[in-house]
Amino acid sequence: MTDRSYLGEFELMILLAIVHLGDEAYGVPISRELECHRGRSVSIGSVYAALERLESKELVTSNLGDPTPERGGKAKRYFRITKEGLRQVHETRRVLTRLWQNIPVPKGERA
Amino acid sequence: MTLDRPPRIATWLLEHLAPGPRNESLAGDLLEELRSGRTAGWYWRQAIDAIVIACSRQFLNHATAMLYAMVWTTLVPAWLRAIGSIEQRFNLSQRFGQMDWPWSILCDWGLLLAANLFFLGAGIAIFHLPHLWAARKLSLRPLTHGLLASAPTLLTVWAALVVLPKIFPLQNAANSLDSSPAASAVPHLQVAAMVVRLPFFLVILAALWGTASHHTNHGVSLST
Repeated sequence: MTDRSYLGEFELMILLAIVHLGDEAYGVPISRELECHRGRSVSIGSVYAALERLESKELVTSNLGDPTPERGGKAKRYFRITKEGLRQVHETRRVLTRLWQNIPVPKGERA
Repeated sequence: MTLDRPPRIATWLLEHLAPGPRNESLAGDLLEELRSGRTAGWYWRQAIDAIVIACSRQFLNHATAMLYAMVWTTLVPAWLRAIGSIEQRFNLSQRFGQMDWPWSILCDWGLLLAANLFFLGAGIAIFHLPHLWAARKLSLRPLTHGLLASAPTLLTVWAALVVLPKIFPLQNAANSLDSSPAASAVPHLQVAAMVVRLPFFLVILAALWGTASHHTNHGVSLST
């Protein structure tokens, strides 16, 4: 058994979004990806707060791109999942899949 | 309609009130979204969200330091009383008074400053000891930084406390403390105790602020 805490729901979603986006994973597309799949708006500040936590846990790394005029000369910060981050994503899925087994389906819904 | 320029006030607030290394990229992201069709209202909401989240993180990262500073400064009145009794016992005020100016003032203030710096230094050292012990590493850097930050901060806060009452007279409160019955004097005593503790609280907090976040758990969870 590992001695670390499991990923939170929002952190897991962000890690998955980073994996989906590949080399284009920075604040705007990550937030749009989350909005698209969650169906509600996301605060970019909360995305950055979660990314900062993930970076401090060494589950993602980041690097600055070049400043661009359309962003007022401000650089994009690109995020990439680490090996440990990917391992934790799989570990979380494994645990959740096991927990989901034998969960009764509410009446009127298809399994 | 697509906005080209972000609301100035919101941008200023974001740049100045949302501390952190991600600030610039976040501001760029908001601008990019604004130029791709988001409204000014959306920009404002996002900016305020980012400020609130950044401040909450700062607060949580330094909660231990704040709590510690509050607890340690409850000892201030007792410490000042102890200094006063030592001063009386050795008749220091009279001895300093016999010296020529400016030595009389310098010795009097110097002794008080040294005694208070000792109190602050002890507080800072005690805060760092468990962390140094846990890290199994003797690093005097946080302690030295804290002590070096203490003296100028203490002097600044003291100076402010000398100047401020001249601007906002508190004489009435002091007079009523002497003349009022005991029951009504209690709130004044509480205020006086808080005023005495305030500079020490600010100095300890300033000294611990930079190093406290390294000791705290970075995995603090914030809801979305």
